[in-house]
Amino acid sequence: MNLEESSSDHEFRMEARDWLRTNRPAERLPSPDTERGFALNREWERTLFEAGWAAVSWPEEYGGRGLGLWEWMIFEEEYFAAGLGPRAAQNGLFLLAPSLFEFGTDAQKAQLLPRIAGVEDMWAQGWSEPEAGSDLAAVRVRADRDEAAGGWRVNGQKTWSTRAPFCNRLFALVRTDPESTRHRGLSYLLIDLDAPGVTVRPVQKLGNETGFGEIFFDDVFVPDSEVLGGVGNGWKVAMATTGSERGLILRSPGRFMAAAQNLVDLYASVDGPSSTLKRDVVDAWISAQAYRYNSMKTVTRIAEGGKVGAESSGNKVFWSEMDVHMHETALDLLGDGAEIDGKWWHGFITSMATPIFAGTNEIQRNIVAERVLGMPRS
Amino acid sequence: MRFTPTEDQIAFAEATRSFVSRECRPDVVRAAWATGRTPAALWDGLDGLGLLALLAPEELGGGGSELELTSAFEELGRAAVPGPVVEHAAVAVPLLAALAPDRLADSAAMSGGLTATVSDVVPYLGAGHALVLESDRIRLVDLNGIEPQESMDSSRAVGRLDRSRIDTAEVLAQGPGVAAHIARAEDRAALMTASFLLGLSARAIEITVEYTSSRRQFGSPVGTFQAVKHHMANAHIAVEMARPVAEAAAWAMATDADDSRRVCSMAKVMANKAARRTAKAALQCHGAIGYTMEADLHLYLMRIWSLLNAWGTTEFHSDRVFDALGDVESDFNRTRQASLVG
Ligand SMILES: Cc1cc2nc3c(=O)[nH]c(=O)nc-3n(C[C@H](O)[C@H](O)[C@H](O)COP(=O)(O)OP(=O)(O)OC[C@H]3O[C@@H](n4cnc5c(N)ncnc54)[C@H](O)[C@@H]3O)c2cc1C
Repeated sequence: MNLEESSSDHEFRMEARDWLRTNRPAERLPSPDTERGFALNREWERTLFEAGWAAVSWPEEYGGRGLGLWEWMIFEEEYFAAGLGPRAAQNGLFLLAPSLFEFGTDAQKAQLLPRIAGVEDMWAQGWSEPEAGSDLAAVRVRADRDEAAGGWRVNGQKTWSTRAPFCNRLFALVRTDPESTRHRGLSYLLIDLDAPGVTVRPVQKLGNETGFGEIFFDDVFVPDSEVLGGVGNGWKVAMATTGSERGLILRSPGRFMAAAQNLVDLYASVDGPSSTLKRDVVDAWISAQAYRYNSMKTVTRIAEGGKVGAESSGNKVFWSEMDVHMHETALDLLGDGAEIDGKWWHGFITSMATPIFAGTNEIQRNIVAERVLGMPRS
Repeated sequence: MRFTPTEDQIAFAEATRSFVSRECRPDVVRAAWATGRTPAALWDGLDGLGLLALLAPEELGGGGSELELTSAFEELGRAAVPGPVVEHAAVAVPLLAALAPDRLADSAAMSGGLTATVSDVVPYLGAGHALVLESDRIRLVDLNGIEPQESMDSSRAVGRLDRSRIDTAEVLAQGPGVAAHIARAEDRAALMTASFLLGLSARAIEITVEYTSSRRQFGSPVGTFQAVKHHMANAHIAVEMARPVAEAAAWAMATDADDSRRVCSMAKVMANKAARRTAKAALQCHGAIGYTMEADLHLYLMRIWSLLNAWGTTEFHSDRVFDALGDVESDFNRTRQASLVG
């Protein structure tokens, strides 16, 4: 065990810090969940890419820096500490890419990863459907074989797809075997949102951002080369993606550490805060540190050849509750100014979605109880 | 940066686990409740493992660090080991080693365990003497004739020392240098209590998972009901998130890091919250059988509740963390742009 930062890690931290300080946008970037915000964030992502910061833990050939997960964690700490918000490219970077590394063919990796890092492609996630929310295995969007054309014809509807109105690509779970039920017969398709037959209807999210997309497929052609992980293996690939979403990859500790520090600063700026609120602030701060230690443990395990398993569900419950708790505390501290202070209430509205997306917390608790603790299935 | 446990840590935890799983079955803990003594086989066995003197110098059978001790204490917690183990191994031994090394060999004082306290309340099961820690003074108090008070957990045997007994006791060490040693010993005690709580909690969860998998109502094991599952999942998540903090605190202590006090306090806060949550969940999911002294569960519940305030309450440790926030030379104290959390 050695929790000390090595001198090379420290140097890397300082390099990232200096670069971020000098190059971060002069004005706070708006949320990427509006058209304008998305465009501005994408420009910023491009700046990151050109300076080699888009994906520090990826091999250089794919647009990364060839470093490890430690450096990624350090970079993220510096990123959020520099006052920057969530990455507009996160679906591609943190959800699709880990699955591409695990299941992609060489051709898929060579073609897609650099375009993710360079924000030439912006990816949306297509899991949910009107009739398949928590019960993801109930997906009905179907892809029929088009042998002559060497691919699939997709029909049906996806929903709640974050930033889909602004994205050009979609990774989706669809039924490629019409006779199949539940987890079998599903495939993971990489779909062009500009392809003929695709309609994306924007849906306003709570807080008014046009962040959601409802996606309709009318005989949309997807070539065989755009199946990830093999026909019929969709469930397995999708579960790897959700593991990234629930585990540390989507939610690095840096963002919660920065938030906790913001909360401490907010507390210090408030006149006569109560001792109850002080306790809430300390709890938030300790939780963020605990999450950091827990993430370091996960990174250690991965570095030693381990994998992220069902325990990522516990992770997700923890970070989402922490996120909610931090924002509730901030609004309590702000009192009647809370609804005017934009950044905290926006953050609060965003946090309210965290126990719902990436699989609701009820579903995550079921997974922890059954697959981690071994309780009987109902 | 690596979170990998050391070989020593793993080996020591395994040895401890295999020993207590043999020698500290629930009936042994119950016997301690009934007799007010730590069974000799248990105490001597812990001594034989090298656990009690782990933080003594090598020539006195020690030479270990907080890293091994925390993982071992989690195992002791899993078995609800009775007796002042934290007080002896994490407080008395290192204090004597630093300030009065000749006393470590004094079998009259050490036999059956030396306990320790910062107040007049002392868990003493089996111990003949207590170290009473005042701000910069340590006294060795003879416990002869002390009666246990009625308390939550009889396997700790909690007594109250009257003032005159303390005031007239021998002073083992005093002076400004002593205060720093005492402060460190208190941090270590908070940390080891935290690890013990995590062990108690982890085991209470296992016991409850077992029970709810066999107890049937409405024609199904009650563990198939989602409300029951969610109680247990919540408890499990709390314990899993608290453990790395205890490990980080052990590392901070073992390497004498500047922030060791703060991280020990964080460990106690997280463990307290996890243990309180676990105790409630385990009891709830057992139903009335859990609310009896007949089920072994009570050995865990009563110990959890009694340890929540041992070596500092949640409030005390939260405040300490808060007070340390100003001096945290973290990378996050820099001027930042206003930022969303998102
Ligand atoms: C901000 C946000 C962003 C999102 N982004 C995307 C995206 O990019 N792509 C995408 O595909 N989806 C996305 N989603 C959708 C999200 O994945 C789903 O909302 C989620 O899986 C829950 O499905 P549902 O909304 O249909 O709720 P339902 O499944 O209808 O659930 C309703 C309630 O019932 C509970 N429930 C359901 N089944 C069970 C059960 N077995 N046990 C206990 N309780 C149960 C749920 O926990 C919930 O409380 C997003 C959602 C939000 C809020």
